[in-house]
Amino acid sequence: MAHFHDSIRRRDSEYKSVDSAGALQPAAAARSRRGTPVMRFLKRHWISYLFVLPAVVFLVGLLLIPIVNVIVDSFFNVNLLRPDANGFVGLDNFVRAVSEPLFWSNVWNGVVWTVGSVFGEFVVGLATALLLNQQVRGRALFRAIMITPWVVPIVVAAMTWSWILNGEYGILNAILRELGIISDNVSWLGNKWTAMLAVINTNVWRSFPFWTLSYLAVLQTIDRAELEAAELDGANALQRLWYIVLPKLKGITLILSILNVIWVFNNFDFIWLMTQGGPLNATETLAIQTYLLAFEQYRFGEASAVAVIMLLMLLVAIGLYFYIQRRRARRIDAYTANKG
Amino acid sequence: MTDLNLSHVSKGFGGTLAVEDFCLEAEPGEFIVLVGPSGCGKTTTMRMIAGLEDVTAGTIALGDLDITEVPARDRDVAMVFQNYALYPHMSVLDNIAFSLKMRGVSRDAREHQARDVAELLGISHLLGRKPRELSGGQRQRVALGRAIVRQPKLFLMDEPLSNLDAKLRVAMRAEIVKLQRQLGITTVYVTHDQVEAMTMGHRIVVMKDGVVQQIGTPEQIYDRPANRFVAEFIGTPPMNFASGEWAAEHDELRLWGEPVPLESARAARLRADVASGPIELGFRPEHVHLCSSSSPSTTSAIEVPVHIELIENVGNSRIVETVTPSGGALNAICASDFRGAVGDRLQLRVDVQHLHVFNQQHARVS
Amino acid sequence: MRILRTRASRRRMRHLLTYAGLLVASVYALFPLAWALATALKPSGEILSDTPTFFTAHPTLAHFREVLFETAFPTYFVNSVIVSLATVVVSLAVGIFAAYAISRLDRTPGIRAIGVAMLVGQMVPVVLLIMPLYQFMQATGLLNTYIALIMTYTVFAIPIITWMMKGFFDTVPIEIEEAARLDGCSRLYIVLRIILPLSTPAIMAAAIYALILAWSEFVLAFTLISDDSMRTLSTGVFSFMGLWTVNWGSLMSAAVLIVLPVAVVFGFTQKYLVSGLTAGSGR
Repeated sequence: MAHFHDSIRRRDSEYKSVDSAGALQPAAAARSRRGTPVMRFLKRHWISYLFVLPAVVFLVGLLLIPIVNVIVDSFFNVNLLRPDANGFVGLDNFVRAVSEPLFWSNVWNGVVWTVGSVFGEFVVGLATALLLNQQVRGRALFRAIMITPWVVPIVVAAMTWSWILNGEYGILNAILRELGIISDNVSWLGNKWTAMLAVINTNVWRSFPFWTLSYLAVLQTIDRAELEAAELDGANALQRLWYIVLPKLKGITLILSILNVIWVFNNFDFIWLMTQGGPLNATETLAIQTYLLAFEQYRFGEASAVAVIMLLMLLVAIGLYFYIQRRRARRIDAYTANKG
Repeated sequence: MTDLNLSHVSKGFGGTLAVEDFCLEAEPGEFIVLVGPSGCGKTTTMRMIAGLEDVTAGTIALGDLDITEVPARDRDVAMVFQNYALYPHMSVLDNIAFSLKMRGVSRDAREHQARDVAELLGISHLLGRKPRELSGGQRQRVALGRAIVRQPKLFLMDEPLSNLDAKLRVAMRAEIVKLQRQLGITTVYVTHDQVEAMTMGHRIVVMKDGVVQQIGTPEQIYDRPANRFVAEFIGTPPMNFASGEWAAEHDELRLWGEPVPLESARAARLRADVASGPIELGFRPEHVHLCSSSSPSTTSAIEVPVHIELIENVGNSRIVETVTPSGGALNAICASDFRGAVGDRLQLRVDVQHLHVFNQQHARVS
Repeated sequence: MRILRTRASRRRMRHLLTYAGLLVASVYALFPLAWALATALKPSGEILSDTPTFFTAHPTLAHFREVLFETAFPTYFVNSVIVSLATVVVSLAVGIFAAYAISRLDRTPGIRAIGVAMLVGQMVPVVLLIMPLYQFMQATGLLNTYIALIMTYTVFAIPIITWMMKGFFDTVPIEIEEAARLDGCSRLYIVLRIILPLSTPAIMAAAIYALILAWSEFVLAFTLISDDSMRTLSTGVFSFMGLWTVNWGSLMSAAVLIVLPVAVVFGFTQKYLVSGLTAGSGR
């Protein structure tokens, strides 16, 4: 035991000792600590910076710099096929992008696609979460089943739904014919209106489990005693749901909505994998346009301009997200402060 | 000689001071208890001693070393946490031996020492278990063992008994005191429980709002509280208070409309320290006598008529809540053969020597 | 007694409705996959039928055989495994330390800001980045390499992994770390030997998240990889869609084969994923 005490003592002796008279001069001692302020700061904090360094390198190198790159490119003529014509063009790319005949129709399609998808996810997600929150046997199994679509790769979701919705041999047409709802086959993905519905459905199917899990997490924090108190006060199941449960889901609903609006509006995979923007551009959005401009026509400058327009829309949404987050956090703080 | 020396230690969080100008010199082997209501800065003070919080101003010395800037892991200080903070993934043996491992003690040596400590604490049969398989009291012992095994320069204990049930708490209280006296290691113990403070400490530090109110032995704290806060905080039921009137020009102290007989020394102190005007007087419930009739006024006692509001039977005694005609509530501790009933009208008598006088700033004068 | 009976019957009614709802939702969730499997097992003649049936009288593995032995599917599969596992390892190694710093060392100036930056980063859509990332990979000669995919997938996995792990670290009592500090541990030792052994469920959840992300990713694989021998499953199988316009049997067997590994992993680790996600999304 003695030897490790010795080693500690040796380390300790490097530090200033109290003078033998025991007369500590507090203020002076506090001020005259070892090292310059910078050294002391680094000594205390270097490990924090070391821990976040790799993450920062990744995020700066492959997220921040590329975004800056897109913004810069949007003011230049960048054409991979004609490198000689590259140069600063001011706002030309934006003007050309906005005056593309399909631009405004793409914006509109994006809005329909986003609102439809997010609303569908909300409805299915909330309904499944409320069902899974009931005290019934087999809950764990049902929960596993509900989450399944979320682990299915998007390409598989697109393929299987394309097959189900197939205009000639699809099972949906067969079922609807059997039920007498339609008499002739519908080409779900070949028709202007139904194509949008079809991609929205695929998105909802694959994305609702995230909503389900998020809602379930909040539902499970609801105090049973609160519900029991409401029951003793004479509230029936529907009233308990309406007055006690649903108000608690407001916050998470807002956050999920904004997050998903961002994700869905900029989504490329679902539409590309199912319709490539067709038929007759009925499902073409800005994300598809960006890809087509960049990788089919190699007009990177113009594609970057479309991307920047999307980025601006995104920033508005993120600003909204943090505004709401902060307001919520403040409410929670106020609440806990009152309790403590 | 001092072992632990805190000199003008302060801690600020943002704009507020959590601990203000804390000074304490502890002798080797001394058991110091920091006590106060929650938020009084006692835990922050302990965490600064441990090195878990930075010191904003002042110095902390251990033995003859200034440890103000020494990292926690090099201070040779052991701490017992309120929630025990055992390593959940390690066995009891590994939990106790862990600090020795960090100090490079060989496996055989550290397991040997851990076993010795486990035997001392009566937990030898638990060495192979994980913390989650232990009861609260057993976890408490493991946490103690983890601190003891290092033979540190200083023990720090942060409300270590507050998660135990009442009966176990009393038993562990005595056990920790015995262990500490046996090992002779200087100890700082934080609690909000004044009974723990009174029974365990050589000396008690009473804190409020980051400021030390009084440092003293349990007797000093109880018999001569420095101010009204200490007087009220220590003792159950708390000290009774009543408003009196002091007229310095006549050397006259009045309570319940009667003049209080004063010894000349006491009168002199009051005259020196207290301005004329309303003044607070305190006395402990155990110094109250309830009598059925007024007895002839003596030079050493003072009386007030009261009626009984509530009688609490606590087994070995009765706590009697009474109310004076002017509405002031006063408690008395009476023997278990007390025969009064709620509504009874009695005379409440206090010996003048048991009266504490507080000035307008709530500091005790005499 | 009368009151008791009505209460019980009302509860039975509610259970009945709940089960009906759960059943409908389960059919919605599972039907596409079940139908894909049913189709994959049918002989070609039965697939293109006007009156399809769910079960076939003559199940066949012919479509699976075609996908596995007559296409580059095995190559895609190996590529996906390599890219996914590497993404999991790298993003966990990076994310765990960042999460620890954001959870515990946030008194260091700038650490909180990095946490917030990650939240923003999590929202940046991939499609905005495909052009600069393509140019970057082209300039560095990384087009058509595993590294291009591993690096980009890691960037998109780091924010969510960091926040999931941070959510978990926040629940570990700080006193355990303080006890370790007083026992003489360094920060690095605390993370590796005290915190990580306690975090297995959260690490599992984060790992599965990164795995699913990397296994399913499409856009980046579509733009950064053009060499068929370097393709991963999602883009490889997508190329089948153009190849076999009416061979739904083989397409569906490919679909089943992609889902199978994730489904197996998911089946074993489902409870970790749920608890890990809920820990992260509590706020």
